[in-house]
Amino acid sequence: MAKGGYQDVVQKLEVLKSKFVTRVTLELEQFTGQFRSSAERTVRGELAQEGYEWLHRLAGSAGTFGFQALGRQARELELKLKSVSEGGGALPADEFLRQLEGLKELLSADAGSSAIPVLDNQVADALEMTRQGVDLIEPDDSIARELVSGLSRYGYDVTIYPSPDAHQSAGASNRLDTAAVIVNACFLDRFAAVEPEDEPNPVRPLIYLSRKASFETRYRIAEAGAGGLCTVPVDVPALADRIEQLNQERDDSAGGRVVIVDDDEQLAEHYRLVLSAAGMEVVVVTQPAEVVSQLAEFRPDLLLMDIHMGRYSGVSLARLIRFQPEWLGLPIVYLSSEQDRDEQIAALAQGADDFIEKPISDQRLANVVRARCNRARQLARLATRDGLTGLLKHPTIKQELQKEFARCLRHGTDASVAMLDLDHFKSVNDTFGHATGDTVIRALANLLRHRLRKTDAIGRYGGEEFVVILPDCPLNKAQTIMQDVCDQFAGLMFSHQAVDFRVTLSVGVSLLQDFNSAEAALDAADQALYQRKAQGRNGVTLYQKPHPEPRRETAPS
Amino acid sequence: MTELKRIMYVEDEPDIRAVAELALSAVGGFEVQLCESGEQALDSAEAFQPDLILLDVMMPRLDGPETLQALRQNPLLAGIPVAFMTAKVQPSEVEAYKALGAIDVIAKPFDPMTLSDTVRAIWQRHRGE
Repeated sequence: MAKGGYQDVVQKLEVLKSKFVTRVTLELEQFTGQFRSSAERTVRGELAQEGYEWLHRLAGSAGTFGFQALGRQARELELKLKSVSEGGGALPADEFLRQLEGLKELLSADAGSSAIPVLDNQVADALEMTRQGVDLIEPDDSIARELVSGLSRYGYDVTIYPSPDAHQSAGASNRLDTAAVIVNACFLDRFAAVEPEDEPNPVRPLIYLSRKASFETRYRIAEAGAGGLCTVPVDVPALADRIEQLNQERDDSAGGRVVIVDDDEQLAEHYRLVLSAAGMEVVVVTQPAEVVSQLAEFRPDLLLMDIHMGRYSGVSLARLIRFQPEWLGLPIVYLSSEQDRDEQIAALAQGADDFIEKPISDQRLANVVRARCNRARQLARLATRDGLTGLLKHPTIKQELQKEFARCLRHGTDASVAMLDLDHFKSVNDTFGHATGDTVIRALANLLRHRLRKTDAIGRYGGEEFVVILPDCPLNKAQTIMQDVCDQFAGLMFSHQAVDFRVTLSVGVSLLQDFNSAEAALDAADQALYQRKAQGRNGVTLYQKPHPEPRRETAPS
Repeated sequence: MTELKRIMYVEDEPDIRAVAELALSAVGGFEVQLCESGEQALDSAEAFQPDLILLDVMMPRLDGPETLQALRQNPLLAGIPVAFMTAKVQPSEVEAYKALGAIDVIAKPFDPMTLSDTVRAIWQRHRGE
């Protein structure tokens, strides 16, 4: 960060964001008004053109201010208007107005969640901000009430609708920011009729509830494009996990990280463009000798490789990559003009996953690679994430720390590592039970996830111990950030059987480059944490280098 | 390799201009000049002598591609690399923009915290060729 510092930038971004909200609100009003007064029954002509341009701008800017759902919706509507203004059919006025109304709701609903890493000090609001909405379409009142209270503990606010029609007419079906829609399977046909999903990957995770889970029922639910099935009586923690998981998948599917190995620079560059235009991050390697170091640096989801590269063969290169156990799970896909099916199978037999024949259309390449990336991420997530919190597991966060340490050495950047531990957690478990203890742990995980930057790594290190890695972050900044987390966490109120209680947090922080190894830095953070525990908990202590023995002046003799 | 220092950012929307300034100047440490139209960019590019110009594609009057063409007409400005900024585009469109002479296309919406890294990577790729 060159000038002003991180906090400063965040503050300024917040100001710009609120200006953005004001402007878009105004424009929405104007546009709606203009359209109403024109009394047209369909959207067409100049108005369609004007609307298209306005929505195009909104789609391009909303995401920058953290309004992801609004951006997506604006983009969808933009494409509709585009085809209208290009002469492809008409859009009924009432539907258009409903869509505009939907944008308005998204603007106010989205206002809290920001792509901008928010580090303000509104302690009391912390829990509010991490709560997400869930729509429940369930005719049985007792099941509905049970889910409302059950999911509430996991940070979800459930709204009940007795039928798909009620859901539709309340306008809830237009909202894209809900964390999930849960529907009783008795509405399977009705729901699909009222709210057809036009994409194979619904933007809102859809979960069905069913009393009996016969193969036939499961199949029909899968056929309806659902992301999950939950049997009644409901296992609430499992359901909450599934919602979280589906939302993660939805967020993940936006990206995808790909390394392309091809000695033909121009072709590789073409693929890079195609894939990055489809929203993926791509690194091109034209020297096969560099592939291993690039993998370690970039950590792709997928490796796309030519099979014949001068004196190198992709097949041998794949085997070489698999020498390292850490890359055993990396999907390797060959991209080659090899058309002999036997040759292809022989190549696959030696440790690769798929074979794409050149030439391939750009669109198809993007689709194939994206699908592979999504699946790879899904599997990697299962292997690396802690079930209760969704944070990185112990071995993974340690690996991340090693990587960050190596990165600091190479680039000479600052990075801090923090060790966190809940205060008196044993007594929380003993007094209120383990289920309540789990809620506390999950609340801290949520707070960390929502309060830290995307680039920070967060791991659950042990029972109530957490590790946070803050890249590009000197000690004093790390202290501010972690103190903020402590303050906010201490502000959270938990309750168990009408008893309210709070839990505090102790943190120790060290700077990676003060040490010779990642382990030493983590040990130091741990020592600082125990110092904090000794000094009265609830706060942050920075690791202090022990003062070296004062060196004796050797007097000249 | 010449270091990337001066960036001209051309965008008709005031909100996005302000965020981009923060992203490029406060976060990225670049020297930034903002322009609100293609015309303004053409007027001030000679004096500012940017290393790189970021052009929004969809602007009233002179749009991005037209501005690029006009820049290419002026021998003093013709050599300045230009990247387009536009809402998510199809690969074929990216190709078309590159055929016009843009060195790359940056997808909108951009993340203010990483825009500078993206721009730097584009610059390095361009210089490396």
